[in-house]
Amino acid sequence: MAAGDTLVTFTVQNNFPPGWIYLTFTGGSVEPTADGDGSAVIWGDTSDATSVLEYLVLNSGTWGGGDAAGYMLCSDWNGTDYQAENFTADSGTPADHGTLGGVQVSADATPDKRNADPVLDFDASTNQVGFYPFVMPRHYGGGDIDLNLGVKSSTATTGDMSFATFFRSISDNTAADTHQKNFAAPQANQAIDAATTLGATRYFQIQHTAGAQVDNIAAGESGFLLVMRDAQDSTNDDMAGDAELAFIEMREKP
Amino acid sequence: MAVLPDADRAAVTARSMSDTSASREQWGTTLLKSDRRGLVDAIDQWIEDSLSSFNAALPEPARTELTTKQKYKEFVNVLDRKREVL
Repeated sequence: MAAGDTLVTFTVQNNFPPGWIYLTFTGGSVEPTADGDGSAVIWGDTSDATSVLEYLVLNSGTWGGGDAAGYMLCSDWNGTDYQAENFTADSGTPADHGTLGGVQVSADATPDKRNADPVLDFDASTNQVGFYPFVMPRHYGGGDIDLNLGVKSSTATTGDMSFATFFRSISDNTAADTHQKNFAAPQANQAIDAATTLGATRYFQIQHTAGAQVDNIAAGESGFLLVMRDAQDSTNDDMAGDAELAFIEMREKP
Repeated sequence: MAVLPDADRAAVTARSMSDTSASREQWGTTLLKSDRRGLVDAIDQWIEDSLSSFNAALPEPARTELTTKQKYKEFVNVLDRKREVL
């Protein structure tokens, strides 16, 4: 095996829906940050709904200015519906760190079939994720990683999509719970042209350099790959309808 | 009645795109997300602008005795059938 060979391949059958939720917020005045246990729990001040913050995007405003607005992807939702309410990070005592846009929306991409082909559908309006557990093969040499993705469009032959990928590695005896370790910062490919023929597969690549961008994963280690359609990026993602992920190839850069 | 709030128009657009994705029904060849939202906005505005004439066209006693919600429901019933027989 050598650099340039395929490390791992993923299809929809490898996706393990993480049960994440999507929350919008405005009027943010205190930025949620991981506390001593490595996680930031988002509490609904009225509903007592809780979930663990995995990824936050600031679309406008500033925390210092009290007008931060954006969205959060959260895991470990306790099943209680959020409301259009204030939220507090990392405390069950309401402290109005910002205002949620309303009830949570599922952030899981949806397994589907296109004719007989299995695909994972990513919504056009809500950021959704696919979640792929894997073990890094022993022949991985620690180099840069290229992800090659194949995506179809449900209904569109025009417009652009934007996708991001995240790595999280779990080394031996370093975290009692995977929630205590965040995903590494995502890498993205923005403004990917939709395939011009309905049903065709658009191939594109997302590159991760070795080290921090792949969360310092090593050969033989457990890892998680997260794939997200950035449907909220109105500049780079304007394609109407679902994007259908057909496959992902992970290979070490030749 | 006022036009739908922005969040409601966004929700209608999202649901429409989700529904058409599920059926893989192509809506035009060049429509982007912004165009689908523009379509919803325009329909909502037209409905708002037409409410008075719609109500005036209804015969009695329906015009007086039915609630607004009931009139809307009947409008949707008729429009749905017209869509089915197209």
